[in-house]
Formats: sequence, structure tokens, C-alpha cells
Amino acid sequence: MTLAAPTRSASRVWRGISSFGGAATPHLLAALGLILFFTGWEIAARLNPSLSALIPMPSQIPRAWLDEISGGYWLAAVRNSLSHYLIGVAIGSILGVAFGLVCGVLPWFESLLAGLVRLLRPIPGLAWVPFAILWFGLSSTAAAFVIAIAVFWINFYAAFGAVQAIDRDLMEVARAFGHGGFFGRLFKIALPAATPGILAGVRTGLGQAWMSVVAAELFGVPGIGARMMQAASLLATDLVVVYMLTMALLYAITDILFVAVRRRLTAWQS
Amino acid sequence: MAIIAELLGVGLSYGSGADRVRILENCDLHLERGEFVAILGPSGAGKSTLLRVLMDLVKPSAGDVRVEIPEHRGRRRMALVFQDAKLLPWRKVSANAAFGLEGLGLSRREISTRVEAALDLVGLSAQIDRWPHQLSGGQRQRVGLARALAVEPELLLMDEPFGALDAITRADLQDELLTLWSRTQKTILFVTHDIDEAIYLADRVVVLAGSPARVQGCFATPPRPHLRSDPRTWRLVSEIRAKLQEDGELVDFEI
Ligand SMILES: Nc1ncnc2c1ncn2[C@@H]1O[C@H](COP(=O)(O)OP(=O)(O)OP(=O)(O)O)[C@@H](O)[C@H]1O
Ligand SMILES: [Mg+2]
Repeated sequence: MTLAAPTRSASRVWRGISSFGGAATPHLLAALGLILFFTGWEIAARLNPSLSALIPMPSQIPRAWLDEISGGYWLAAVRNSLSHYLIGVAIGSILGVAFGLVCGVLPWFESLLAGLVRLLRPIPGLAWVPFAILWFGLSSTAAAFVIAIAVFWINFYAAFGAVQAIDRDLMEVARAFGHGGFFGRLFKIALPAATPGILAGVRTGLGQAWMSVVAAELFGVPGIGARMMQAASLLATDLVVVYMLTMALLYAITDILFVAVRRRLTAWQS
Repeated sequence: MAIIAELLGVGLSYGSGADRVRILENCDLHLERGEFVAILGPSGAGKSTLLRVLMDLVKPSAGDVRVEIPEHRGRRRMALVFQDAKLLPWRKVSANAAFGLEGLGLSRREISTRVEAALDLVGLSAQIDRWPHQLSGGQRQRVGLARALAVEPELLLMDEPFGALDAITRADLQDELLTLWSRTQKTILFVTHDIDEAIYLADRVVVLAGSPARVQGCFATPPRPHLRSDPRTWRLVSEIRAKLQEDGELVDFEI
């Protein structure tokens, strides 16, 4: 009895909050969470001046951001990283999807590659950094290469799995209507049927690729990662945070674009 | 009359080794041009499998399949209406109906003319721009029929096309199919597990039953028009029932 009372009143308060503002409430709460987070951070940083070398204060960030932009560094870093990102994601996704689809459609090809896949797949993209630098130097190509490898595996497995999950009877439909050949099965059945699964893989790849961007650039290829390393070595922690937020922003933009594209490509799903 | 397709001593098993299951054994069937033949048999007998063999979707393990339809661009003018429609969910109704016309070198205009004609025939002109998931089960089945009709098949194989429909729609579609058949003189092989439907539609009813399944008998129906209330068909129904029961196979047949 004693336990039930506060629970009930808490749920009444909750209902009060959620009825207030209707559908907008989750967004309001999300904004509130952010505000609480940054306020708490600001207060904690101000109360402990000794920490100022380790953590910037949120109030310093806008200033640092503006300086970085007016110095021309920000745009250059973003442009460099975006080009690594887009090239790496494009190459990794296209190759990953292509190999995944063909493996799904041609069992003998899948068997042929099975051993190689077992061997290479556990090697993380970042393990290729030494070779990337050896082959391509500290260049954009090296960064794109490392990103492409990480993205490749995600897309390969997503596409392959999606083809495996296709209703086998649809392949029979393809044969019955004269599309039973390799290209018919690939383009008329496997690719469209696997599109939702492929897109899920592409989306994961879009997110994971930012990780590789930073990692590849930490080794010195110019871009956001490299700029963050410079800033950290100068104890410019506010700049590090500026670039962290920059990445969050870029990811949000790519994800919004992605969702818009996906909506068009999978309009047929109920 | 000329034979359009023939099965000679066809046997088929699925699986291998200890998992090998014999589905069809020593099945003979011949179809003459312009005929309407029904295949009747209990669920799981192997009716769909028989159509797959005719359609060259599976190779029989024994016997011969002969289809006397010339090939054009690697395709024969024959088509299968699948049991559960089996539409491609990422294609709108019109694109589904056009599936068998792609890759034949037809112009876009030609394809859309034929697709529209086929959809008109099955009464779905208004749904041409819908996705399959926006259709009822019966409408989907009719798109499956339109997809088959669009290739203008000489031989039309239909796998329980009306099985999932309500009695009224089913009766309508049966009549439409008969009209279509008498107008175009296609050869139709129609699979069903409904004795009434088989007799109402077909010139001949072939009973497929047993395990492995064999052709248990072949019954000619009275001259057309078949009336749903014709007393002669009652006798035929009980003959066919007897044939099915002989085998101890008959479980629950709709009468
Ligand atoms: N790919 C397959 N592998 C193994 N067994 C199969 C396969 N396809 C069908 N079978 C089996 O073959 C038998 C005949 O199947 P089929 O689909 O031809 O029956 P059917 O007469 O069409 O039945 P229904 O009226 O229920 O559609 C069934 O027992 C089924 O389990
Ligand atoms: Mg069947």
C-alpha cells in the first residue's frame, strides 16, 4: 500500500506532462535533456577550474567554432574529411552490395569466396592502416581506402543476408516468366527484393564510416581527425569538442538525406 | 486434334539419400490444343509439382515431358498462374502484369497496351497504379492471372487460382475464365481440389492422388454448356469421389 501511492501519483504527474503539448512532448523532453546536460557540464567545469586543461566549458565552444571557421580551418577540414568519407563510403558500399548480391544469387561463387571471406572478414578496417600508408602515403586515397574496407564488410553481409532471405518462390516466378538467367535473377528479383536489407546495411555503413574517417586521419591525413589531434596536442580541448559536434552534425545530415532516399526506394513496403 | 503438351511416365522425387521422398510416379497426361482440362487431387498430392514439371521449373527424375510450342527468344508461349499469386511486391500492378513481356524486344507502347488489355480482362483497370499490398487477396490473384494472360500463352497453367476466394467472386471468375477460354481457344490446365469447380470448368477431369501420386483416372464431363444444377454432373461427382476414396486418400473434399 505504501509503495503503491507514490507510484500512482508519479504516473499521474507523467500523464500530466505527456498530455501537455501532445505529440511535441518527446521533442521538448529531448531538448530539456540536452539543456540539462550542457548546464550541468558548465557548472561542473566552473566549480573545478583545475580541470580547465582537460575539459572545455560549453560556453567556450561557440567562440572557438567561429574562430575556427573564420580562420578557414574548419571548412578545409570538413571538405577533406567529407571527400574521404564520400569516396570511401561509395566504393565500399557499391563493392560490398555487388559482391553480396552476386554471392546470394550464385551459390558456386559464394562457395568460391567462402574461405577468403572467413580469412579477411575478422581483420578490422583499421588494421589496414599500415598498408594504406605504405601504398598510398598520407593521402586522401589512403583514408578512403581504410574507410572503404570497413564499409565493404557491412554492406557485403547485409546484401548477402538479404538475398538469402528472399522467398525462393519468387525465383521460380522469374524462371516461369523468362527471367531465370543470371541477370534476370539478379536485377529483376534479387536487387529489388533485397533493397530494404541493403539499405539497412548502407545506413549502418554511413555511421560506421565516420569512425574510420577519424581513425584514418589521426595518422596524419589532413581532415577532421588530423585537426583534432593538432588541437589536442595544443590542449585546445574546446576545438576537439567543436569537431566532435561537427561530426555529429554531418552524421545527422547524411542520415536525414538517407532516410529521404530510402522512403522513395521502399515505397512499395506496407 | 493436335497434342500441345504431354507427360510420359513422369516420376519425381525431392531430396536425396534417406530424405528422398517420391512425389510423382509414372504420371501420363496429354493435353490437346484448345482443351480445358482440370487436375483434381487432395492437398499435398503433387498437383503444383506436376505444373512445375510442365513449366520446366523442375526436372523430372524419370519420364519425358513434351511441349509442342515453338520457342521464341528462349521462351515458350505458356504461362503459369501461381497458387498464391506470387506477385513481386516492389512492382505496381501494371509492372507486375508486364513482367513476362520484358526482354522480348517489345516497345514500351506495345507492352502497356497488352498490360492494359490483360488487366481490363480481369477487371482491374482501376487498380493499375496500386502496390500489391494495397490489394485484396482476390485482386492479387487476378493480377497473377493478368500477368499470365499478358504473354498471350497458347497453354495456360493455373494452380488453384480461385482457391482463396469467396463463393460469389469465385463463381464470377469461373464464368469469366470460361468466356475467355471460348473466345481465345487457349489450352487450359486447371488445378483444383474442388470437384464441382473441376466439373463445371473442364472438358476432362484428371484425378491425381496417392503417395507417390499417380493419375488415378480421367473423366470426360458432359457436353457444354455445363449447368451448375445439371443432374448428370451429380453422378460424375459421386464417381470421382468414389475414385478418390478408393485410394483411402480422400479427407475433406468440398462438394
Ligand atoms: N521443394 C520441395 N522439397 C521437398 N518436398 C517438397 C517440395 N515441394 C513440395 N514438396 C512436397 O511435395 C508434395 C507435393 O507438393 P505439391 O505442392 O505439389 O502439392 P499440391 O498437390 O499442389 O498440394 P496443395 O493442394 O496443398 O497445393 C508435398 O508433400 C510437399 O510437402
Ligand atoms: Mg499446390
